[in-house]
Amino acid sequence: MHELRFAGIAEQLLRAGVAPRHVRRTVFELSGHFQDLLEELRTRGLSEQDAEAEASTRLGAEAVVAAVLARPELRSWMRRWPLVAFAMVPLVTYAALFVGTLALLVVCLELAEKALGTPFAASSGMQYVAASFLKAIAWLLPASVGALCCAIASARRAPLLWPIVGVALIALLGATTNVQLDLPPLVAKPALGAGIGFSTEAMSLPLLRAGATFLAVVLPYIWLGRVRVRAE
Amino acid sequence: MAQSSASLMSGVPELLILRLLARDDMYGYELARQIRAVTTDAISVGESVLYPALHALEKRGLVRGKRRTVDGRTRVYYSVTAKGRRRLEHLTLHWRRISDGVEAVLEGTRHA
Repeated sequence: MHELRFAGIAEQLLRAGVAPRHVRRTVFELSGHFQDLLEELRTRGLSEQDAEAEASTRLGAEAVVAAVLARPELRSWMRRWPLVAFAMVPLVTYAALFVGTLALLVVCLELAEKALGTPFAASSGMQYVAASFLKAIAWLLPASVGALCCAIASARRAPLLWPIVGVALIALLGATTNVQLDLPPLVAKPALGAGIGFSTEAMSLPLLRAGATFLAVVLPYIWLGRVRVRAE
Repeated sequence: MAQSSASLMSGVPELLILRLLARDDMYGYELARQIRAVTTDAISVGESVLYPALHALEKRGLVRGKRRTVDGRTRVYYSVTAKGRRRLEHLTLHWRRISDGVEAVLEGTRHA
């Protein structure tokens, strides 16, 4: 019963944009306060029912919510600047992870060359692993960053608009990001190249990639949001 | 009247909280009881208002909250920081001036 009451307060605070850590802390402290209050009232001779009623009045849910909302400093920065949090930060995160993953791949290949004693250019196994890895990051990285953005937005009960905009931008950037692995005999030494761009003659593949990433991330996000609303 | 009373009372919860926490580390419920006891119920800081006030003070770096388990119960104990002590000194001076001013007016009225 008490848990339901405090879960209700938590949900209201999250929806109002209060930072989740403040919500968790407020609920934890209120719950302890409620227990202490009940003990005090029981020791003063109140029945269980009267003690609960008195404690509920003193820690009224509406008053708690109003008191927290009266303090804008307790609101999450992500809810104050949703464009930055759900569109710009994920884009920068995607770009940083993309570059970082490629750098990691190069380091791993160099280590593998030394460990196996076989040059990359001569190892079809290593070339296969590298090419598969590049394909995987081209598809999975934008979807993963988009899903993370939606998960964070969902935990903060943020309105749907900005996370959807963020996912659309990541999907477009992901679809127009190209990675190329050139191998001998086309080039003298194996070379890894990356860039952003698309050709007007071949728009269908990037658009398909962007659309697939967008739908794969956004549809479950919207569906989960609806399930939560229905559950309330 | 309610408006002016509210503005006159603004800063009082902050002063009370800082003053009581400067004496001893306390958790929210303990603090609420202390406020009631020390002010003999003359000033009431609503129990529902207490936690947002404490969190806001913590965000400003005036108090610090730490989870501590005592007698099997885990609670967040608050203590005043150095910045909080400086703020307390400032608020105390401010309230002493107001209190002296009001006292002087009351004394003057009595002698008139």
